[in-house]
Amino acid sequence: MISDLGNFSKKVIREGGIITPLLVHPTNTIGPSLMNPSILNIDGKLLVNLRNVNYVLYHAEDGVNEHVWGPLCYLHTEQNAVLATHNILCYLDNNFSIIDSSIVDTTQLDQKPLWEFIGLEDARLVYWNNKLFLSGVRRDTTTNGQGRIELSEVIIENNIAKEISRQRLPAPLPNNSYCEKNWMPIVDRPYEYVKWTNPTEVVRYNPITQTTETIVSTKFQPLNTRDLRGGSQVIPYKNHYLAVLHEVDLFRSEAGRKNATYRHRFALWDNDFNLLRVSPLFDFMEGKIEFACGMTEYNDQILITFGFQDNIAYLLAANKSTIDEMIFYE
Amino acid sequence: MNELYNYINNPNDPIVNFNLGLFYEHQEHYSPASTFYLRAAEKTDSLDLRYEVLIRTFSCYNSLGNRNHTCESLLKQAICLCPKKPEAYYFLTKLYELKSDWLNMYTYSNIALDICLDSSSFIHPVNYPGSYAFLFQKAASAWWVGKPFESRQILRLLLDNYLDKLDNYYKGLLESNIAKIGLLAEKDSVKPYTKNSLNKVKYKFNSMETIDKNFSQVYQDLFTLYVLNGKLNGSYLEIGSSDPYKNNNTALLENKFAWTGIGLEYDEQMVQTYKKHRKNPVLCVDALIVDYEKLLQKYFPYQNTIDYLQLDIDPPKNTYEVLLSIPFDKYRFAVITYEHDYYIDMTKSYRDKAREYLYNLGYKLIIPNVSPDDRSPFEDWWIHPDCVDLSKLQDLPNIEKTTTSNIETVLFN
Repeated sequence: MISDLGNFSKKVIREGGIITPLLVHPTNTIGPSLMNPSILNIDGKLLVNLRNVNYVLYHAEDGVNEHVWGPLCYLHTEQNAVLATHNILCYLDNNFSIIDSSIVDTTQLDQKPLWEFIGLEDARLVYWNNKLFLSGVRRDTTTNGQGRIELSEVIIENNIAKEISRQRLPAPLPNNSYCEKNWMPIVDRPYEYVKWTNPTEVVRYNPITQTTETIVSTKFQPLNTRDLRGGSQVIPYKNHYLAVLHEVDLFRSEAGRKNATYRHRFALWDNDFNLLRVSPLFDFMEGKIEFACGMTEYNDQILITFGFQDNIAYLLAANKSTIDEMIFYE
Repeated sequence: MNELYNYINNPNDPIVNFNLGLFYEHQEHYSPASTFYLRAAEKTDSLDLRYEVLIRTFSCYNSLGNRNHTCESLLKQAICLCPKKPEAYYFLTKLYELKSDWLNMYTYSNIALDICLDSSSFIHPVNYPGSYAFLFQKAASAWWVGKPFESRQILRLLLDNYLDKLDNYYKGLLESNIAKIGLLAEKDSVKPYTKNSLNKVKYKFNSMETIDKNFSQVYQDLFTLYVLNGKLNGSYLEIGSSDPYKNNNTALLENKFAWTGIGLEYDEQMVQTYKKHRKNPVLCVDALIVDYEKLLQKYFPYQNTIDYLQLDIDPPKNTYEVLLSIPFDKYRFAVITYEHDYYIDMTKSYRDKAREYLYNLGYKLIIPNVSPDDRSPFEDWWIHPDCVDLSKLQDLPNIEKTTTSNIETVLFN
């Protein structure tokens, strides 16, 4: 098995899968960019959450046409120096086209933001105990931008999505990290997350006591990878658990300006969350900034949703054989 | 979506990235479009393509709005790549115009006029009108950076030499800008009549010696008084009153010859000033929607001949439309000054339409193409033969209707 697969979408399509953009007309959005989508199959109905931001990522990926502020910058409007996120929930038809969309109304629960990253970021969709949740990170509740996973319960009535409750999940002790993000919700185990992959740490949130405890803690495995960071939800797959992870290479240009490259892997666990294997590295479309926070099983395919350069959202429908080749290799 | 599948197979091909950018841009998804344009700029070795996609990337950010710094930065990157191509300069001057950054607008218009070549051959052309746009941008910015003379000079140049090249947008801009600022500065325009120049006046009338000075822009008040031989207690309908005194055609009639009348003016501030300084009334109305029959019945209940009609609103089309709504079947006007603004009428049609209309009503064109100089014909002066003493007109020159009447030359020795 090669160690770097490169363009995964190309492989998926070559093997009979498809790719489609997830677009909502600009008149039905708040900001210009739709990114980092999540997807969930609820009893055969496909629901997608699109992260809708008020900024545009400018990324001179090869460093040829850098912005005056560097190769990678987040361009918000000049009048409003915040990076704000809204979420848009959409239903898809069988062809993966958006048929209904609704900006999630959070106004009942919103507080005055205390930091410039506003809103629930990179929300993953889960349906636990007959309730629909968006689980993402929020960084606007403290003046230093401390990030914590939040769980927002959402209802959709008459095609209008509305947040009806919001819980901020504490990290298990020692609860002192600056930013807890990219916890991967396990779709068939309510309130449980893969908090970290290697060593795998699984945590469970108790919504009654509003506490979080570590329920699985495995040993570190020496793998030839960078830090394996969270991505999609964790889904049951062929008597295992499967997720898309990301690795990030944060670096600086010669002039000392921030830059980054994101790559991806599949991770496979057994039912006790022992990490069995990780796939070769891949990217989705050869972009330097890509991020997957959605994966679900649908008919005979695995649907993966990902953001490209923080400005676009795509859905990749891969045949299971393609996924199997990535994870069940010898 | 072929563009996306082409991309998946060739993600580093600049043209493929460009086409995917276009796909998104055409759907008004400017953020994704900017991503693929920028990728195209990153992947290509061609300066021309880099230049084109940087301009399209700018266009995306410009459409998103409120990201002027990035827009400026993208255009300057494009200029650095191809300093002799005009498009980036053009959009930069438009950007500065929106920010009222007149000095930068003026500077870059100047540079572009000096060094730019003809427009580029783009894969997908952008909305660049042509090099004349820099002249207009320069003229507009020159006005605000303290160079009104240069501004007017360029507008004149555009008017005289570029009219057939301008697109409709720029024709409209040229027309409205000239209408607003005029092609002659006040100091260069015709000098007001004063008592001292009485002996230079070719056509005198009763009580002219009592006039200290006139107020009209090009002696419309003196012409009216000449035709009516200094008539006292005359009447007027003034459409497009503007200022109560400056360039006003009825101030002299009211103040020195006791005329009464009614003025119509669209600008509320002007109306307030007018009311403060003039005895006769003025109405703040849109002259295009006035019921003139009712108006004239109200202000002139006992007469069907009015001594003077001024028609002077912008643009020429509007003046013509007002002309058509005057009830000439019920009222006659001894003197009409009709502003056709022929010199800036891009259609070159309204003067002749108005002439045909008035000829058919029995009016006689006395001074055609009145102009403050030799090349800015903007008014026709008419009389109704049944309402004036024709012997007064025998002395006036017989001017061809296509000739420009430099009014100082016509009226003064």
